[in-house]
Amino acid sequence: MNTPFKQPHDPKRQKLIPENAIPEIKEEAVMAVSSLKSAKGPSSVVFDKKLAELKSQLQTALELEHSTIPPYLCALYSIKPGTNLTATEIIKSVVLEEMLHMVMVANLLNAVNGKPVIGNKETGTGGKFIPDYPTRLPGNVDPTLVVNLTYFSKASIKTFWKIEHPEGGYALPAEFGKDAKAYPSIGAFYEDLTKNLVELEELAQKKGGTIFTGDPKKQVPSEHYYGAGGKIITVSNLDEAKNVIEEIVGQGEGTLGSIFSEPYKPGDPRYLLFGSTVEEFAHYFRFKEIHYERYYAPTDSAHRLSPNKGLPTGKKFEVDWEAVCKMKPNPKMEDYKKDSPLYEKTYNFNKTYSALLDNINEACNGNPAALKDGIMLMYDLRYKAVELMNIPIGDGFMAGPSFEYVKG
Amino acid sequence: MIQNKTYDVVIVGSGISGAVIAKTLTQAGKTVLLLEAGLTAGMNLDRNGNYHNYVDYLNTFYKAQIKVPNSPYPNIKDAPSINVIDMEPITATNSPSTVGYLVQAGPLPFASDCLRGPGGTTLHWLGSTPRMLPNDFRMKSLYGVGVDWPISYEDLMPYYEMAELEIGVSGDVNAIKWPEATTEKQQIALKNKNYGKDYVFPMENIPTSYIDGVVTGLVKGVNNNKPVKVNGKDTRIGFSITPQGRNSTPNKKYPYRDVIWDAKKKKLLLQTDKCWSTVLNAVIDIPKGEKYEYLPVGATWDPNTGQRCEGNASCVPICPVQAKYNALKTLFKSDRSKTTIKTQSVASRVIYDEKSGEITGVEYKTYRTADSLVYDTDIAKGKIYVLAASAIENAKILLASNAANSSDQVGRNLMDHLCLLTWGLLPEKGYPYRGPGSTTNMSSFRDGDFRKEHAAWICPIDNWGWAWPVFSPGSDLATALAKNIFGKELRDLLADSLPKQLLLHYECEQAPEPSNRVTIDPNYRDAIGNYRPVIHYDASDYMKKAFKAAKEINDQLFEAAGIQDFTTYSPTMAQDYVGYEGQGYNFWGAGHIVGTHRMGKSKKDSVVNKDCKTWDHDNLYLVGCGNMPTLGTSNPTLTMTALTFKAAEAILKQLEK
Repeated sequence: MNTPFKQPHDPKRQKLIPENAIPEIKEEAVMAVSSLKSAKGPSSVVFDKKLAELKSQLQTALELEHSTIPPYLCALYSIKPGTNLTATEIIKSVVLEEMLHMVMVANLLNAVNGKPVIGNKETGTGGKFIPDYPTRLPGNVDPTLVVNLTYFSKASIKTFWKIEHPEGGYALPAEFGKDAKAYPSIGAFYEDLTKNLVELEELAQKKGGTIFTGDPKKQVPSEHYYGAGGKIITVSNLDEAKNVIEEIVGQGEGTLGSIFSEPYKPGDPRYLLFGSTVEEFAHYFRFKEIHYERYYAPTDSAHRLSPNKGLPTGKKFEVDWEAVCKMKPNPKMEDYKKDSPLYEKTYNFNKTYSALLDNINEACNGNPAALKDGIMLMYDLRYKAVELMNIPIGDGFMAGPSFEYVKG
Repeated sequence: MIQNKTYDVVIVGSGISGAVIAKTLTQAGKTVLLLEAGLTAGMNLDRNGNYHNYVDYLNTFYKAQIKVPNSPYPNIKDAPSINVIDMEPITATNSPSTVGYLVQAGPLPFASDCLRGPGGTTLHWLGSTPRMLPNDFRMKSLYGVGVDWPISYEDLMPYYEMAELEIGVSGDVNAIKWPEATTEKQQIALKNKNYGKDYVFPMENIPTSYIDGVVTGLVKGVNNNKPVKVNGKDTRIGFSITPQGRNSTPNKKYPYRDVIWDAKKKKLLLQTDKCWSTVLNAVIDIPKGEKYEYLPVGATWDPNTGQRCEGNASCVPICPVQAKYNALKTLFKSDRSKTTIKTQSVASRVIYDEKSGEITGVEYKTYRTADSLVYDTDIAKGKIYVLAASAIENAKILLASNAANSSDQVGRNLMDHLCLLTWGLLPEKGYPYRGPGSTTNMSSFRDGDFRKEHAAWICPIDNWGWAWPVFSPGSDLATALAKNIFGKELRDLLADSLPKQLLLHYECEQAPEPSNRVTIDPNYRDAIGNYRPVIHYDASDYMKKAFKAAKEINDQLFEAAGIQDFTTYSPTMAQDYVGYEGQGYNFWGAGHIVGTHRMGKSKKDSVVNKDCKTWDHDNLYLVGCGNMPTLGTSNPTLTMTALTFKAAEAILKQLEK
């Protein structure tokens, strides 16, 4: 008999990022280092600028992780209770992991003495924290992809796996990335982030310091964050920072990036990611399971050019695509007359969601114990969303949550 | 019959005691065959299958009309479970009552149930884990009632600690109030003596429910202004937190990782520098200085689910996230390569050599599908045999085998906590259903000289309204509708009354009586020919006197605290109704089925010795609540688990002799 699943830090667990994904940095190869050397003024000016950029990139990561949560929640809440058990469990586990990622990114940002801004950014001038759906992913990640707030369907599941890993692999059409840096995938975004982290920490250490100067009390520890997506990692050094990123990318796309950039080699054990001994598959594969209504078999290969074409061939499970409340995609409060019951209900949902973001913001800014108050809000959020999704609004559609920030 | 493999140990039953034996023995390298009477689906070791099976339980519970403890779980004709729905008063015309699995010979019906299925009754237990009090072990010498245990509280202490790790107990040791402590200094001294100066539970206290604060606040007022009188003396009522087997915040000071057999010292030990790895199927050494924090054990299908109690308030009959401990969590930590599990396999008897007394096999029947009348009979072989099938089933199997009974004590001394329920409306809203079933108990009457006269009791503050005695809130709604109340009036009525509902239950410790017993009768068998237990049961004056004493205290308390009393007792209120000194009382079963094969100092008056080994058979151990000579006022699971670790240690010693 085998154990049903592997624990974190087990060596046999999926290797999430291959060892060689992050190249060893040679000093002369690092732009920042050379610019530092050539800089005339005090070297700290360049360093500070780079660090500020890193913090800003981490804030983008926070927004990127969050941006997938409302679409996943819409799909999850739209499933009629008692139906689609497996699909519900899969989407639920993914959305929980996205929440974990968000809080871990906040830990990372706090570790480099940054200030995570969750939700209440909307009240300032720095742009929105919640994207305006339909939306592209924050951070110029896969600009070919448009994400909607919509119900559980084959089409939305397909969008989800594209979020976790782009259809076209690592190639990005040339028209993107002209103005600002664009990334073909979330994995590529984090690869760049890791590179910047490593560079800056090396620089800082050369000067006898470190970029990890944040207040350890601002870290959200496992005591306060639990039961959602895995054990949270607190960050106080580069290794822990890399662990965070490895966990995020690994839970999203798994080893996909590395094995797809190489030609198919029959028999390569790295393709065999599935089976009851694997603690969890990456989100990408879990969405494929829903779409094809089958589990991956332990003998299935992840590679697209394998005999099973990277698709699941294991035990079938039932997906009832019709047992769904078909919410009208991308609703807004402004769609309804003010003071109408639908406006009120949508507003109330948004009030709860905004309160939840504010709560997480408080927790990630020095009061981790506040998270326990968020639990009730999470239950409440579901009740309010499900209520909306049971109100017909014509054309065969139902109302739905709009995920807009409102000040309560 | 084919020749079967001989295992080191054959275990009957996969509830908490069977699971603890299986886990402890296989982790020490022994091979184990586990026979489980319930359905294969409930033992699903595959993660997806396990989840789906549990969702089936949940959906069955949600749809059940009457949400009794066994309502989520399948009741199989081949291995029926006791169900409290099947109880009826026993009269001249229906004796014995045979509507349920139990054959109730009376005079009173036995009112508690348990679950025959993978994981056993821990699937529906509440999860309260108080230890017994030191005096509970010496009832005969201190109070002249029942018997003394062959071991003392101090003997059991190390095993209590093992049980508290295994179950994953949350609680604050300092907030456990000792009935005999009248000063803070005595309280601290007793805590240091009974738990150890530095001892902490694996997890911090489950936050006490809102209603606890309301009730203890009211009682504080009563204590200060108009204390209740017991035998004419002013008596202050004290409360204690209830330690419980549900997940909460890990206690950073908790040092232990696992209970592991030390082959050199021939002891089971709590380990700080070793642990069992379920991945490697081996004991691994922890690198020196590695930081440790107890990790709450989550659901069997997902370790991240159920990391904390979420306050779903359906602990009995089912925790939707498995934040509450169940025995499958323990069983899944067994060394899988050394564990063989046979499900749908019902043990019918043990076979032994007449001369030596040595057990040579367990006969069991494997049924093909649920409720099928088709089964295969087989014999399981081991060096040592362990019955872990519940107090009633253990006794039944022994009686059917004519085994272990030279003392004539098998099946006798059947005990339960007899629960006297009282209910009323609080003067302010206490908002029941916020959190688990109970987080605080009235601890003052757990011990005292009064035990010479009548039973002691523990009295939990219940958190689920009047659900138990009168099926609230459904019955409140039905009553209002019948009175033609609807709309806003109905909403206001329910919103005003339901949050004020208070229920207390005085769990009175039943003393051992040889006439309260399990027997068998060839006329009563189940679908596959196994005996149905025949129960003979009554409440003695020692119990009735306790009802009277508890009710008198309760009446004074309700009166002084302004709690509007709605308690009524009648022959139709509940199946168990007794009269004492002109007053009628109902009592309800606690689900604490105890005492059918008690341990003792001598083979003359007990079935097992202090290591849970039968006096009559050198290779037969009995584990479970049946071993307990007396019950005390604690929920018995923790004590039973401690005894089971003691038994596991003795079995390992015997195997390695």
